[in-house]
Amino acid sequence: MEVVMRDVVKRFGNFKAVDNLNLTIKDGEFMALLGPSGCGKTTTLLILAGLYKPDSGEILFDDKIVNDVLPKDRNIGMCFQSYALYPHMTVEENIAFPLKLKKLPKKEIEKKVNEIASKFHIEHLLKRFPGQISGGQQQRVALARALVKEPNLLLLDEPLSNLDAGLRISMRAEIRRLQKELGITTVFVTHDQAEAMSMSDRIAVMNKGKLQDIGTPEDLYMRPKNKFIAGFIGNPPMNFLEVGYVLNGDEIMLKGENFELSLPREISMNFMKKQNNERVILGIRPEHLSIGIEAPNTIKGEIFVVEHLGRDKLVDVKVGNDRIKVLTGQNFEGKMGDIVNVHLDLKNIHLFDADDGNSMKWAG
Amino acid sequence: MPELEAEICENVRAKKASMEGLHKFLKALPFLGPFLFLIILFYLVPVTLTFIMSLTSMDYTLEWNFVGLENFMRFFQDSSVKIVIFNTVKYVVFTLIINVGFGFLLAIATSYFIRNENIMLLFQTIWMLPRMTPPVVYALLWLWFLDPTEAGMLNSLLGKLFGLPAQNWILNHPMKVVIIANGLIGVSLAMVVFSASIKSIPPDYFRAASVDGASDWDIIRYVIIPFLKWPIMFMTIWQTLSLITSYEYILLITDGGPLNKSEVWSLFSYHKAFSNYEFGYGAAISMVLVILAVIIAIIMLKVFGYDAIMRRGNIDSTRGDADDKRKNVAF
Repeated sequence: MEVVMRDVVKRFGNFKAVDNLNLTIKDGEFMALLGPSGCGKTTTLLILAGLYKPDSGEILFDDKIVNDVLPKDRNIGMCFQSYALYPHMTVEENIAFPLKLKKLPKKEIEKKVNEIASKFHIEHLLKRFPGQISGGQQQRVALARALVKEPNLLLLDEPLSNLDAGLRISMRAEIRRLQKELGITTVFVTHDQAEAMSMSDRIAVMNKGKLQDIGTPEDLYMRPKNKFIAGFIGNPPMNFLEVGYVLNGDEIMLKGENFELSLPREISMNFMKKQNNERVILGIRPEHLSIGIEAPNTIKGEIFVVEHLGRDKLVDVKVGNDRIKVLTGQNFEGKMGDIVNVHLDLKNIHLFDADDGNSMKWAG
Repeated sequence: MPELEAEICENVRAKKASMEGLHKFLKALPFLGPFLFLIILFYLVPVTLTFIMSLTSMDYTLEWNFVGLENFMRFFQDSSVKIVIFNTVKYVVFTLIINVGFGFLLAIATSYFIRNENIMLLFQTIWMLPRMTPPVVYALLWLWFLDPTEAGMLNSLLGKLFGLPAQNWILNHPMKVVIIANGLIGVSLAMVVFSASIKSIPPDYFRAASVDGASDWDIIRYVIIPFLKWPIMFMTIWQTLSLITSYEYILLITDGGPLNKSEVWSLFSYHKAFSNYEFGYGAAISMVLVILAVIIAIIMLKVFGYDAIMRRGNIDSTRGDADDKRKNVAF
């Protein structure tokens, strides 16, 4: 089922929780709504579920406006962060609940419950109560309950955040696989960029009620449209340094507190021009930085701390009042307090407007 | 001599333990003390005195003439006892239905359907008014409302609206008046308890049910009522016990009349003691009631599961159980 949100606004008092949201979710797509807490992503999900009514705008399910359709008539499956399993019902009764409300014959209910239970490997838990099973098992039961009625749209509200790290990673893959198998259009709300990146076909990044950008995980990672997205997606996050901008013929000079970088023509032509001496923000990911010998076009700094990540080391380098993170190999020997030269992979730098945070890269 | 040493150690430890027990009791005493004192003064002492009095034929002369179980024999042969018991059962059952049932409906209306905090507060305050009003004033309001003349509020209302003739409500429907007047007072307590319980149900349950296809009625039936199981049981037990022994509003509105038509057990005892000055007999009647109330309480607590009520008095604790187990055991 294709889902379209058109100019959707939702206010709580004077607070605009969702501000003019336009979003199209294709049939069978796995779409993540990603953003920090309070960005309006859960509100958006509840609007899709019909639990909140938008103040203005339209919601379309397969070209039909559903603004006034009650949640119970939308045929959606939903899975909550708290799982919301009824504590007074057994696992079996919980899963059967949506079918019971549809007044399906008992035999059919039993058949469907058994089918979905075997798909989720929870057949042995059917007679237990939610309080008697583990978090991961509850998660599966909640998913089974959401899917048993074969919904047209599956809504997942931070379904993994109550699980421990190991379980979360294995559930990611399982949910992803299941979604592809069933081909159900799915909207997944999360504040965890790693979850969004690893699971979804496309990600809609939200902040302060506004849609920031929408694209494939790769798109958002490689070509962030603004500083917010650049900082939110990717772990460890992108480094930002505020610098002065000087245009020198075709070359751009970036002047920091105690460093200067010149961008050659083939790189500077990727960016929109600015007035001389304007402030811009230089963004670069830790993996595009390295530590090497003293050379022009590098940044000198002092090692603040070295974090061991197992496969790599993450070096915090103090540059003036800023700190930047550099991803280095396991064999890096630098110690706290060492003076180092940070080399930049200039092909992978980003420049953002210091005022509105928009990327200065030419689109496309 | 390791055995001896061990024994001494054991003794010292036991002594320490008993000292600790005493110490704990002394610590708790300032907290328990006032209540202990009040319970002894206003419950145990009167009950004991009533029991002793029930074995006497004390009358207006206030002499303690012991007559053994004579009062109790008389009670079981008294012809009015049958109607008194019948009235008591009727009174308790129907008042309870209003108390708990209507309280439940109001709680659903205010905390599920309306959900506006201010409207809810206003509504609850209105229903609280009778409880805050002194019983005598409340009873007078009813007497005034049900005034048998044409100027009476209910009579003039029905006369103007439907052209019905004036009637003496208290004379014609004493039990109904008593049940309604008492029921409306109890409603507020149940309403407040149930409203709080409904509000403490995590909103995800309502959302999950709506998305799963539940109508409002389904949500009440499958979500609210199961979550309110314990508060409903608690209110039922509480109200039953307090209704069995209550009589003040009946005394003030109908005084048990006309004849014995609205006489309930505790009022019967009151009348025998303070109208007929048969203190011994009155004491015996209330003694039977006390024993009966204790038996009913024990049965109800057994049936409803006292332990469970104490353990799971609120919704949070049931969720707590689940949360503890949600500690992500790998599956």
